[in-house]
Amino acid sequence: MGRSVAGLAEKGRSNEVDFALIGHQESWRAAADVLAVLRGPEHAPLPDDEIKDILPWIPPRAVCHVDVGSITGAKACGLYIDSFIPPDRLDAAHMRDNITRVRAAAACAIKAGANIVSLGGFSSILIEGNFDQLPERYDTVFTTGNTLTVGFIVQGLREMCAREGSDLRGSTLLIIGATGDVGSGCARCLAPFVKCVLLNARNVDRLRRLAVELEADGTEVEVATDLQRFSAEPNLVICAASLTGPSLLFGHLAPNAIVCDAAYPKNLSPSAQMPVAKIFFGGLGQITGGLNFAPDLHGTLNRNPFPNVVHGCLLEGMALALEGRFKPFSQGRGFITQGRVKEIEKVAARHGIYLAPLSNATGPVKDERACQTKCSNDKVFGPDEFERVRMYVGQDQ
Amino acid sequence: MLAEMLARECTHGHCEVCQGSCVKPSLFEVSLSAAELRGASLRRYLDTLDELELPGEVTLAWVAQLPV
Repeated sequence: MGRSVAGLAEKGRSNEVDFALIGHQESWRAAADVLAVLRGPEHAPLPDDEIKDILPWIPPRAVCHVDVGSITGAKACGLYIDSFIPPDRLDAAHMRDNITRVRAAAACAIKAGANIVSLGGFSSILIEGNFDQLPERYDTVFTTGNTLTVGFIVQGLREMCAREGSDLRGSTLLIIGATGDVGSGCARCLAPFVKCVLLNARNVDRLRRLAVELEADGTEVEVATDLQRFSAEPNLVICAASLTGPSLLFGHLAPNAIVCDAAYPKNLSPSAQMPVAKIFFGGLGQITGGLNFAPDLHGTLNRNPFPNVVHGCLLEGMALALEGRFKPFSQGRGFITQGRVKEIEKVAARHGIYLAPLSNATGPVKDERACQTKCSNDKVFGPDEFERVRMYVGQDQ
Repeated sequence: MLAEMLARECTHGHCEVCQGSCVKPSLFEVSLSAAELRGASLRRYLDTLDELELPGEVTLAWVAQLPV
């Protein structure tokens, strides 16, 4: 504490930011790692029981500065604000307290002068994209980030299908959490390209409304609130349910099924026995123009085997900040369409934000087909990824 | 001093607040716990620093380095 307090206060007031990211830790392990970095190497890490005692008392606040670069040369500076929702209190019993925390985190972002704020993880679920629940603001806009998340989920699924030789047209797609903003967005984007869609969620009325919407476009749809009740075995699965922890266990899947876990916290239980299924974590993007944290929480806040990988919900706000487009892009629930997804994907790609290399709990998902061509950020490009870059950036390779 | 007083264990001996007789073991008799007192004190400390308009990321690092 060598600097003057008055000087620090003045610095705090004068440093306005382009964007803010509001999030929370998905596990106690993740929370412990963040606190360990903040304590520094000269202090012993806090015991787990101490962290569980202390964390619920920490008011929402900025944790670090985030600087992001674009391949166009543009730069944007932001803040990561943690709402400090305890990882084991994401359930309905703590909803009121959690909404209060998200509101307080939003107030931090507004006070910091952020032009655009991404609501990550449960932050957007809690308020269901209803920004009227957020504090009054004048120049700060909010986005749930769900549109770019859907874009990366769909891209990831297509990439895995290409690797595994699965034909989308003959596939049966199961979406868990289908009536949520992300789940329904995935359904709209993929339904035209698959044989059949199985929709699973808790609310049967919302399921039926979504089914009617998809069937109007000629899609074969089945709905069920119980995963065991579907008549078909899916070979493609998207997990996008707002579960409070990794607890999902499957019944029957088609052989060599591809499973995308795009939830935060993860849906799939670590003990899920799916030896033949190919699992990957969906909704993640990679920033190729540069990403820095201060304090240096790189690899702690964004835990991934590959560098500069961030959740799509947070990347949407960063991409819009780099674009200088300070308008809310993703709001409410049920408005994500193929057109909106393409639009935000183009914005992101313009600034070097692409689908992240695929990974799961055990590490990178190996692509046997990829020719190893490394960019300066150590991103491994396969032939399909070069095609994607050409398509969005509009340059010939 | 507050952090030391409310730390789970008095690693430096008595914190001198209780005049040689530690009250921590008796908190439960008045429906309090050291964890709750510590948490509430931490929150009050951070809220006060917020009112002084100190950057949240700086004050968070300060409290993360308090003794436990």
